Amino acid sequence: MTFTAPAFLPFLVAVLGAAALVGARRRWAVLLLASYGLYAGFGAAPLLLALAAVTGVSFGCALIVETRPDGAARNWILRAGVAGCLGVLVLGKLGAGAGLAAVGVSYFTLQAMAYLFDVRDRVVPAERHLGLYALYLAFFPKLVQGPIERAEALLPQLRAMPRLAPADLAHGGQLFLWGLFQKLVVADRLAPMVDAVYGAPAGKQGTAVVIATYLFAAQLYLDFSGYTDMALGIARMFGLRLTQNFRAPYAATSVADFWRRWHISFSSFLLDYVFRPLQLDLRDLRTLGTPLALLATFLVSGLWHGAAWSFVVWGLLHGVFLATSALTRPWRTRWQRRLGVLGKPPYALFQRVVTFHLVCLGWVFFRAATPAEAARLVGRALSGLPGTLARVARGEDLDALVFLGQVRGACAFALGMLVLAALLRPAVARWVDGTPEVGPSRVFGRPVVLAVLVYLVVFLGATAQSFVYQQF
Amino acid sequence: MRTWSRRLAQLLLFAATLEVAARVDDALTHGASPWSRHGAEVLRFVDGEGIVRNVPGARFEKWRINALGFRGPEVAREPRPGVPRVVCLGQSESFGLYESPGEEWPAQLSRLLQPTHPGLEVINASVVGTGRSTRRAYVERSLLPLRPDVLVLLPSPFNEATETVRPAPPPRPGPAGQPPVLRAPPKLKLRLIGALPAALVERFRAAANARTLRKLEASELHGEPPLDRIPDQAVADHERHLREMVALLRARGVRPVLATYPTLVHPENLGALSHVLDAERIYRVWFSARGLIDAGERLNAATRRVAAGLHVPLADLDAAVPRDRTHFADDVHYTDAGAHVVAEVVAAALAAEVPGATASRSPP
Repeated sequence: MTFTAPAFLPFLVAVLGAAALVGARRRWAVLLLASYGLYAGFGAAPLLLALAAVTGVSFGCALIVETRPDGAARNWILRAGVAGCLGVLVLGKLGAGAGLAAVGVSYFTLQAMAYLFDVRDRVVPAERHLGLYALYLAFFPKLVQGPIERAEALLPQLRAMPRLAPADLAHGGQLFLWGLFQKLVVADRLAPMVDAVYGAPAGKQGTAVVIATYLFAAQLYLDFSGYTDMALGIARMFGLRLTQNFRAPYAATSVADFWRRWHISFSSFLLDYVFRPLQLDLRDLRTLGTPLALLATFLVSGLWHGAAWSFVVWGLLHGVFLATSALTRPWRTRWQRRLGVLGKPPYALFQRVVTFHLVCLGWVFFRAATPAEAARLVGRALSGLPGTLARVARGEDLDALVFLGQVRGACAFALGMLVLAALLRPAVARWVDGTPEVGPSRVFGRPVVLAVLVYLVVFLGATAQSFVYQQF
Repeated sequence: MRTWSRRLAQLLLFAATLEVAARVDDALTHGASPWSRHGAEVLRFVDGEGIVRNVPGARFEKWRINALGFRGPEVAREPRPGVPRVVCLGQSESFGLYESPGEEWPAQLSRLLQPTHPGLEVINASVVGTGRSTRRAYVERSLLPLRPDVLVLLPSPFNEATETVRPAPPPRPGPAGQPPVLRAPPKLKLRLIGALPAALVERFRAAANARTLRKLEASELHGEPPLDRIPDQAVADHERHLREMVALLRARGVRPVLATYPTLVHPENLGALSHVLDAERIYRVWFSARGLIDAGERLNAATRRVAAGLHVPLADLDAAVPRDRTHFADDVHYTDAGAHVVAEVVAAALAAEVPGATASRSPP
């Protein structure tokens, strides 16, 4: 059951009610039961077994790792635990490739592995309460699609189990509503336009491919960011704070900056547990060490998204961008200083535009069915752009070249909602951060915006499609 | 400002914004005026002669009334030379209630007949909730001037029997002059109902209908039991009315086609579906569930007798439409699939009346 399912709201109300009734001490049990219950709703018994197995293995291994003074023994136990988690992850990926349900496996296995490393490195103590640890891995707001929570961030909150507070309930509810808006009213309304090109790519060229790719960039972001905001909102209702996963990613001025803003919980996991150890291992290669570590890290990132060549190419593409950036940094910095553009707003804008297009190039491979199809689309987008732009300028064939074969009114509505989302995002961020309300416009602006969001979600939201990142 | 008064102001502002949003949405989506009343009642009015009609040009949700006051696409008052014109006259089941837009049976009939009669016009002249008392006047004043070649008549046995037992209810006022009502709350209610599991909604509705029925029985029947059998007079009235209608149409050069009235609930499934009939009985509390079934059986039999006796083509829908939830949304209204079967059977009955008309049968 996803957050957009009609049954989810009664489920959430019931869990909140039960959590309020049992009090803080036993709330972990209610949340754990709810989390396993929700996971069982995906209808695949092996998933529950996998979650329970990863929980048991990582919980046990961490306790042993912590008590062993001998470094070699600790490493062997750690490797055994990580291998167990990786085994479940690989089985999950292969199962997903064969059409089996593997919802959430990528997320809880990563958390379990990170926890084992953290216990070994004494970043966190091993958790001694199996129930709390199980809840840390399975907490239902972030179980299916993240954020990938670090033990040091979430476990202390679960141990302390904060009181349920009306302010948290209100802020969490607003964040949840905002997430629903992003998902149902914007992302799912953009999806048919994207699918019109990527679902039937034959003959699509020039502006059609470019527009569909821009729209896919928006759809993917709002789909994932919408889910994350819903997850953060639900956790907030219980007084718990989850990791923020996005920070205006398309405003990034470099691909490295993009990865500091996109799927932050995952990219920081890659940075800490894959890239840095690799960089250390490859330090003897001097200037080549970091680029090679980046390539390997983003190969892992691609494979984490799925056992398909599209994701491998997408990961490697980002690895190449970052490796090239690392290799050319001294040269680029020198030229930027010479030209006097470093830190200047027009140059930052130029960097943003270039970065956005590099990321979009990656999204073509991410979205297309195969790398070959993606390469053909990129080729046709570039070769067909001058001709199709000229036809658009003459007002010819706009339905195919601009509106992607969709009803113009539906396109206008989707794009209007995209603009509305961009305009409202700063205000929503302020509310959720708890910025004090001052002045009549802020006090009375919020009810108006919330009512508009409620109306749009309830009456004009698309029939929910599954979340894009749920498949990973 | 004190906290409680600020919260109250915010709540009122929230509710007002929802209402404004609903009105803007209706204006953009359905062309409805933000200021006037907007509900299903905008579709009908009672004219100066007490005849219930559709409001020309009215729009509400999926329903569109054309400039002549009929559901469906615009048609010219005068038929085009050489192009046959078929008028369908029924009640809500023919006007279309639960079907997807354009899937009500007259619209499907039009599509079925196009391959053999390109350009043929099918006019859906049905008006919700009408019966015998105003039918003749409606046909004479509004339908015969259209000079149809064929008129398909599908009378509701429930409405006909009710008119014998109780005089026709006083005409309802039209939307003009009625105070505007809030639009957001009913929309929210409908969306909430739509989100609930269908089985749960049906149970709630059945319980609510049963409660309403108990109250109505107490207030309307004054201790008398509802009728298990309709009066013989109702059958005689129905038969006489049909004969008059056939004579009127033939006298004006219009070929009549009669249709029996299909219903979901029959004696064989009454035990399982009695709650479905409760919804129908709310409008006809004088009849028991068995009384309504009796009305359907005996008035349909009368329709068959008239058709046979006067050599009028008959679309025996009561025999043709399967009695299941695939074809019926409630006791008398069709799903898309049910409307398709109705259209096919009517098309077959029309075969002899519209030269060359042969419907291409396809699965519903």
